[in-house]
Amino acid sequence: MWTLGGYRVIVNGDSGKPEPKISEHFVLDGTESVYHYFGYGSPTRTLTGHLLDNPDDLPSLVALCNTATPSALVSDQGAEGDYIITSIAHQRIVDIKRVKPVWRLTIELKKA
Amino acid sequence: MARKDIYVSIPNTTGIESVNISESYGQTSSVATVLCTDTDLVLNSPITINLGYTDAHNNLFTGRVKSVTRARADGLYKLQCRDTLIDAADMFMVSADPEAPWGRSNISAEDLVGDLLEEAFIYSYTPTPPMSFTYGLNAPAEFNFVSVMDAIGEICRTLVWHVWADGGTVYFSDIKPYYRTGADKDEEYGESGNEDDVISHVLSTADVMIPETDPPQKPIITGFELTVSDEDLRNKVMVFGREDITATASAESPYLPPDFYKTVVIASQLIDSGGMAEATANFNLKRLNRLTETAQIDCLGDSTIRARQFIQINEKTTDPTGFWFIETINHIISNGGYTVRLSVRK
Repeated sequence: MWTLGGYRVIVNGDSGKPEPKISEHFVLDGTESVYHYFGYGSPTRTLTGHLLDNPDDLPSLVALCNTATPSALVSDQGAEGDYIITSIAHQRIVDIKRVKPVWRLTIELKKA
Repeated sequence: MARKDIYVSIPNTTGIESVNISESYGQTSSVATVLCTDTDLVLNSPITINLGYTDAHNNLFTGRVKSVTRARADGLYKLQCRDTLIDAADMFMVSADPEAPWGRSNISAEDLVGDLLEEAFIYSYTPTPPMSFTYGLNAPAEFNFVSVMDAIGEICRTLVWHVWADGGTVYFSDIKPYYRTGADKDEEYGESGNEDDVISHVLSTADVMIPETDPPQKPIITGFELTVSDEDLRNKVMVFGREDITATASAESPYLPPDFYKTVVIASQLIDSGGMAEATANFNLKRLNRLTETAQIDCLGDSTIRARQFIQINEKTTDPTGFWFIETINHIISNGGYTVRLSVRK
């Protein structure tokens, strides 16, 4: 079971993209690049999933995003540490079997 | 593929996002601009900047913070820093009695500069004069209503010598913005045994045309632009000194029509003898009677390249020959990596 900031999210996708700080240079008449490396930023990851039975949690997750509050991420593998929600794209989808709204979420996180 | 790991160290400063250090032959003092996320440095805090790569870095700036800006929304601190000589530019010399200005008599050029620097509380000073030059022989060398740096600048202009700061120490010596052989200096100084100007670096593109050079070639040029003009050429120098002292030096220029003279005037109360006026005219004619050959060079960062050095350039398209004086250099560390931009001239 996944939770973010204590709110349950049904996660069906978890991806990341490390972005080390590298600049590329070309010496005139050269045949290969020179790379300048100067560190890396905090890890980022993107969760895709749904809010099913607790749609009222959406405003709470949006509040965590708006205030950049470090929020504990717990995955099916256990505690993942604190993350800041840098964006939370939400789209309501139709599910005639359910009375409560169902939200499809794409949440971008950066390690706090 | 070659990888270089960037190194920047500025004590009491964290989250350094960019550094730009500008050194120039024509600039009163070096300027450093630092963008960072946090710092304990405040106005007039001493600051040193050491940068380069993890395996080769150097202290490129020693000075003080002259302005601190903090901006929203990024929250970054912007530190503008100047080296030691900013104190000489900021110290204005005003005598309480206009009839008794600050002055010195029968004093060597290096001691006169040293005394002026002390007026700005600069005591770390290493003059390396190649020859003796005495001021205030017939009347005191006097300064009033000028900054210490302007006073020193007047001395430098008459001799075509140079004052600069490095690592917190001020230097005064005969640095000219063009290459001279030992024989050239022998002629100027009136004594033999002088050495050629030292070539500090040989910069090249990746197409190394001359495999064996001393010093070894550095294939680091990423951009190059060469300009030739007669903009700064002057083939006649008129000097006016104290009272009726004057001197003129002129020469035909192969780049100007026959009998055409572009004139520059140098006037200074420091010049108090005919010999000094003639020397000033000759020094300046030699400096100015030449084409303005300049080049802008973009390179991979190298913290051993400094202003006032002489370099050789290997670039096959424009094929610049001879030895070039680094007039201005910017060491820049940013998201674009570590680069240097040089303005050089012959």
